[in-house]
Amino acid sequence: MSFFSSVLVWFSSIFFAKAAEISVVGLQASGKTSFVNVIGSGQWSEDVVPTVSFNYRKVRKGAVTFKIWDVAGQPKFRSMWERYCNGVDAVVFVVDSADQEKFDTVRFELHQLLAQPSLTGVPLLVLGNKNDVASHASVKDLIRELELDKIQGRPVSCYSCSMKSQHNLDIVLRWLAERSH
Amino acid sequence: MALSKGPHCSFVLLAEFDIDSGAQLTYQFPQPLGADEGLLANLMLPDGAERHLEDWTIFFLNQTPFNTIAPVLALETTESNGDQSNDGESRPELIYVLNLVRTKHDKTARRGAVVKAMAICTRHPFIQIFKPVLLLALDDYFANPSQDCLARLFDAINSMDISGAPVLTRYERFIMRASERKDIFAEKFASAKIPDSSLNLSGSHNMQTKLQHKTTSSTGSHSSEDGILIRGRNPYNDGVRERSMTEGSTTSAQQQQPHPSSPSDSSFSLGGSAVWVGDESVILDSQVGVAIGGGPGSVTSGTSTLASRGRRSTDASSSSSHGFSKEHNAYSGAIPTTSDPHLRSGISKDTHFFQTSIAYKGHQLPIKLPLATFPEEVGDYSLIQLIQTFSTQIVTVSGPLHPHLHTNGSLTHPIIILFNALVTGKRILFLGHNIPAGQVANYVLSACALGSGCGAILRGFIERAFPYAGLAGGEDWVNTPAYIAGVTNPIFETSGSWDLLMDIGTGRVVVHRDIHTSFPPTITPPAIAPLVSRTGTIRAEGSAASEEDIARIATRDGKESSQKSDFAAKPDSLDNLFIEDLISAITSHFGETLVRMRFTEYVARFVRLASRYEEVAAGSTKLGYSSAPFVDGSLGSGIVFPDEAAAFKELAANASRIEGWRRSKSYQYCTIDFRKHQATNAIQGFDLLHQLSRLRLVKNLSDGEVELIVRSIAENVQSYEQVVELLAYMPPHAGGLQPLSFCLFHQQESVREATLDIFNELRSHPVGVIFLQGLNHFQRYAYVRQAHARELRVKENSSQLIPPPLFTSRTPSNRSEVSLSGL
Repeated sequence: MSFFSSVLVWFSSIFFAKAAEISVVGLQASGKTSFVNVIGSGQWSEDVVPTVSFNYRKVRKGAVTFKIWDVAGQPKFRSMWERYCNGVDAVVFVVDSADQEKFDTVRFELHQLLAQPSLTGVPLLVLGNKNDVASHASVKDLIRELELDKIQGRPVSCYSCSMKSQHNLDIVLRWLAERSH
Repeated sequence: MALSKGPHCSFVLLAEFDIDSGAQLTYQFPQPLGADEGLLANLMLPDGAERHLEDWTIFFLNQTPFNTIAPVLALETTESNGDQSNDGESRPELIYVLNLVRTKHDKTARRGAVVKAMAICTRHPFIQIFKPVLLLALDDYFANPSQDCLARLFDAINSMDISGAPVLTRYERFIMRASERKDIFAEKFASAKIPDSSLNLSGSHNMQTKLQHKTTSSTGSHSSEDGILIRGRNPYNDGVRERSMTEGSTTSAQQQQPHPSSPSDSSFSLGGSAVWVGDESVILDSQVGVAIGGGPGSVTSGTSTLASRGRRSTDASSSSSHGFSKEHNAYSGAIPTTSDPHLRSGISKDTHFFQTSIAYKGHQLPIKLPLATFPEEVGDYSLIQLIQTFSTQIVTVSGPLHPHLHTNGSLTHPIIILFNALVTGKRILFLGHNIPAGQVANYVLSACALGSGCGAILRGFIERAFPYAGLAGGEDWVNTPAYIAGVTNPIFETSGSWDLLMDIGTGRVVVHRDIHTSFPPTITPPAIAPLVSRTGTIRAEGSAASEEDIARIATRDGKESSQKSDFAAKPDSLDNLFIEDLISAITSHFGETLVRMRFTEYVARFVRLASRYEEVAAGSTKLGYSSAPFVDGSLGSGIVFPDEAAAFKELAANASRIEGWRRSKSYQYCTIDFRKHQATNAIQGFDLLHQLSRLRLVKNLSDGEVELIVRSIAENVQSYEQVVELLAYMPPHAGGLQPLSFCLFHQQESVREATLDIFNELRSHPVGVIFLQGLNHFQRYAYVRQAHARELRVKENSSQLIPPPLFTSRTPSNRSEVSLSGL
């Protein structure tokens, strides 16, 4: 059965191959590299060595090949986000939803990025990561805190998820697959 | 030149990856550079540094307005740089940065790893020598982070003593890099004298090992390598008599009187290897002499080749009956040799390097300073690696064809595409995704060497090279015209503006699809038309090929290129043959030296070809001597082709890239350099390389021309500088002195005499002796025989005080003339 399905997947990947280029941004230590690791190889680890500058991965999920730019989130790299987001099919903005003190910074950086003229119309997915932590903010809180309702001219989605428990990851993947072409 | 650049190390930098803020420059020692700290930190912590445990990166400063340093305290020599002011440029001197970045996985650290980088900023292009000390210093810093580590490193490097390192001229460097002899220019390591070695040479009263090249010929103080040594007939008399022939003929003649000798029973030693003359009874005796005076390596090998070939007729050695093994024993024994003084311990085992050390925390780190590098050669690049990477089966070339790049249509080899892109000033991007930045940087440095002919011919590549570049600093470098950059970030493939992409990881060579808009091929085929129209004038210059022949070829080429827009691909084009030759040399394990020499030659030829092209297309050239054939009484000049048909073919094939090159900066540099060299060359007044090429290439060279060539060379090779310049054009891999040595067999007395003059002059310099030793035995014997004959002649003259009629009664030469003309 599994053999049959894998053959089916293989055929569909030939005939219905799709691709999507995605940039993953967000403040440092919010779980960007974890996100890429989890959807890439299903592996999660507590300590991820911080990314210097960027990380580029190709991940195939079913018929869709994702080209993922995983960009470092430290303040000194944030000016380069725009370069990596330029021309992609979707921007994934990862937020550490358990670190509510940083929400001001997150809001500032997010709106700063979206104000770039080169990113007009690019779909945005905001992930409230680390919802396995008890003190995490809900989706509603995130939308309010990050003023997601004020974003216009592009599809915006916001999910609460956890890379550790892989909660909501299927929805996230489906959302991303819809951006492929 | 390279050694008078102020402190060895101008700055030491330390950068760390801060988990909360990103790449940051922690320390700058001894003072802030004044350049953007974020840029420096990002260059020191390359993209993806956390995925490699260790990575070396290289980048330069003072290239663009953004990476130009402005230290608070001016550096000693920043402004007073003579080299650059000559070119009418006021840009500050380039600073080379060698950086080591290390990722230490540490469970106790937050997020599991620490990334730190330390960098040395120096004005020396041979940055690789600092690698060991930088490794130690970064280790130190990991163990004990403080600014003291930087200060220690700074002081250690700057206290390195290279004051004893010889400074070589341009031509001396040519010779050194072409020679594989480990004792080349040993005389330049002048500091220490070895008194015992001269004692060991028994009976050599005037055998001072004076290691200066300008020896005083009047007093006859030559080291034993310098001269042809004459051993007396009877070695039992007073041991072995050795005397430099050049010590003044009169004294030599008088001292020789008590032991009359003839050429038939003397043996000559030429810098350690001997040629035997005469009957066998003397040989045994003479062997003793060799055992004392001869250098071990060369003699042993020389003798064994003799024995194996059994060339009894030419060298009359036939030493087999007289204890060949004994001879070997003698050589392998602890016999003082003439080369000993140069191989003194402590200075250098290989004179290509100057050995010194850096004292760092009680360790003496040995440093091998390369002596023959040019400023365009940075780091320990490898042409072999570059060629191999882009010569495998998986290499794909894609993108549109461009006349500047695809000089042989679709069959242009990737390395030639790269070379064409380099000289025509295209923007070149080396991409190595997931490859350590240090490796990528090496490809960039190799490419710079490729384009510049290993630094020897062209320049202006390093100043626009960015061995490691990234997104940081606003991508300042992308706006540099004709940059040569190395990146690890694949984002540049889609968003960067480049003309040629060399993907190291996947072996892709991509020409940008917009290349025709960024470099419109305006006048393709540019040179064909003028070439055809000017065929008449060239023909009038009197060529060997028949006139119809040339006309036919010229028009055919013209037609071909106009019809097929000159992308005709020939599998046997010269460039393809050249690359094939190189690859087969690499696969048969020839070293990097040879590959470099071949490319130097290739670029040199390209320049001469361009010079000829310029003449044809524009009427005159600023690149080199204008071409002229040999006309009675005046030497020819310019590039030499085997025949005129080949000339047209080659000019037509190269026209596009030469046109492209003529618009580049390296072309301008080249014209400046040519003017400069023309003014400063030791050999003045004629195109030396042309003459040597004529000797090498042309069949049926007229006697008149040979005579004029040899005589001009003889007249112009009188000083050490001139000797060096001549030898620089006769590298060992191209046969060494061979083209000249054949003139020893010329049927005309005057040619042989002039050649003898040249060789005698060469012999009075250690470097010349090394080249003479490179001749084969037949040639060497011819030289020794004729030199000896001349010496005898001079001796007779002075003893009889009756000048014999010039050029008469010289049996050996006459005999050879007879035998030659008899053929």
